[in-house]
Amino acid sequence: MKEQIIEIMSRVFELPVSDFPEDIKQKNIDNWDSLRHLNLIIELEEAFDKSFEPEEIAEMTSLDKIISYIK
Amino acid sequence: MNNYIYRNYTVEYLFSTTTYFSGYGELSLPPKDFDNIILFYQLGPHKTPEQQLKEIDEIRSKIELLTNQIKDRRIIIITLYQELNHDWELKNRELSTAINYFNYRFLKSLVTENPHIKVIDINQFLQCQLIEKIDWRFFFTSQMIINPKLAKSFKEWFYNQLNFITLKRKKCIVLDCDNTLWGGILGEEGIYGVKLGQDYPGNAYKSFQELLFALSQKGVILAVCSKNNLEDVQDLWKHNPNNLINDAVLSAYRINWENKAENIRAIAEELNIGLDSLVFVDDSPVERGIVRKFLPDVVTPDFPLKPYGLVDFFWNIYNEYFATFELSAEDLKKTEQYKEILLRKESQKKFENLDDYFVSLDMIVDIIPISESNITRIAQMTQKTNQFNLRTQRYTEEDLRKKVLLGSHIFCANVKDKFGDNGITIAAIIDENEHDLFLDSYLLSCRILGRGIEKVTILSIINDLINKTGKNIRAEYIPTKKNKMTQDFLEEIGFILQEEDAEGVKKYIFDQSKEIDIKSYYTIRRR
Repeated sequence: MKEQIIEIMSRVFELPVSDFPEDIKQKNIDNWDSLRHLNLIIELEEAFDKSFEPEEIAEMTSLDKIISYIK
Repeated sequence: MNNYIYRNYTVEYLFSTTTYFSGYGELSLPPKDFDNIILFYQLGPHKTPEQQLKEIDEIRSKIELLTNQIKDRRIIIITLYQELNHDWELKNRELSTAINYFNYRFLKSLVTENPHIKVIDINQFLQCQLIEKIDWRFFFTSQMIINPKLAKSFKEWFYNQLNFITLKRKKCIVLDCDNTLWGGILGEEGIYGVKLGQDYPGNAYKSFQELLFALSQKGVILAVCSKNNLEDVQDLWKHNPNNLINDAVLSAYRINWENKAENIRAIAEELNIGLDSLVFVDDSPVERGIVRKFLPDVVTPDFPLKPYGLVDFFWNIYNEYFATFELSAEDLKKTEQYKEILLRKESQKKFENLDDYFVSLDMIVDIIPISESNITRIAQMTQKTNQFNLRTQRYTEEDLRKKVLLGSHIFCANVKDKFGDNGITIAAIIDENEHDLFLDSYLLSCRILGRGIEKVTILSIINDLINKTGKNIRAEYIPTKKNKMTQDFLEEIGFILQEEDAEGVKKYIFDQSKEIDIKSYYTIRRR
């Protein structure tokens, strides 16, 4: 699942997978702005067949948190 | 293609990444040259029907203002959604009626008066979508006006529509006869023997002819190019009552045994129109192939394999090559009547410039000192505001409380106008020490940008503090990736640049003697 999420992130943030930092979170990635955050959420909802609550969406600002909400 | 979009909701995800967007509801003229100016305003689906009715007026004023000011570029207006609104009364559907009126009368009258204005009907797209048109989660969290899951298909549809608008319209259809305007071959079946009439397949050809006839009444030129004996065809025109496409409707015809490419060229010359204004309709793939090869400028669509496909075929051609928003003389007369009705309504004032419009908004800015009731919002704004933010300092509520204890002056401001209350959208933090004041933070939600509010508010706060403390104020701009829009803001409100370092951090001191031109659109109240 982690690889799949990073792949989606790479597409949404227009950033090659190899350029991702160790610790993947909004603060560490320049292109992770509010609009792309929503694009990311929409792609994740489609890929994992989920529907997140607004409170969750606001919290999903790092790879670890995203994984925990998908699980 | 270079597009600039005026909008009042979040729509960035619906357009290509090269598109430029105004602020929410912002009306300043576009900063550089664009091919298309797109006006994408929608009613707030969360609002009461009464509020939405008012919003229609507001949108109309904005559109009138923009179309009055932008005369030299193509303006594309997107219609209002129709299905998402609710009316209190089932019998008297006030809101639905107003939306309809707006879409199909008001916009139409604009298009009639201004050839550079086009309309794209978003309802055409939404009607075909099977999933929810709005996802309320994304509407309430991000003001997304269309379900983001529809973004991909919207993009596709929209850019198709755009191509379609920018395409040159065709002027003339050139038609074959046998197995195109009627079934069978005239030379073999005779003028009454061809299939044209009540039963299948004759009724399909008849419908096709009726549609073509109606199209000719809309101003599209019809011509015939057929391999036949001229006398036979003229005989049919004269005697077969089911036939509608005859020399009374046709502007030109070439009925002979010559090469069709040559005939079509001759028709274009006779009508004095370019080959690229022609659409050629023929059931024979061989003839189509010849025309495609020798006259590539002529559009030669594939012909339906079965006569029952003719109606769809007609509308496909129509929609692709002939559909316009242009109106006939009769429609024009109707539009005149609508316009009178529009003028009679008092609230529908026309605004010739931005100043008049702003004055009419009755904008009120309430400047409010920090308190328990707004501290959460102020902290949240420092965390979230990226674009209009001079120093991008992030604070928690705790940090703000500490600052207050250390003598900082913290304010927020609430902006409202006749269309509603925008809530707290501005925050300012000013530190004070024994020598002077320092503008630690000034930030503003993009929703209210572009009306000069950002200037009057901070000037009012600063001047008030200078009077109270007798101290002057310093300020600073720290560049980030996102706050470029504020890089010259301090100069604009009367600060003097003192130094700029290698990272682009600029330090300023306020010039109290400088007169700043402030428009009197606003009422500023202090609490």
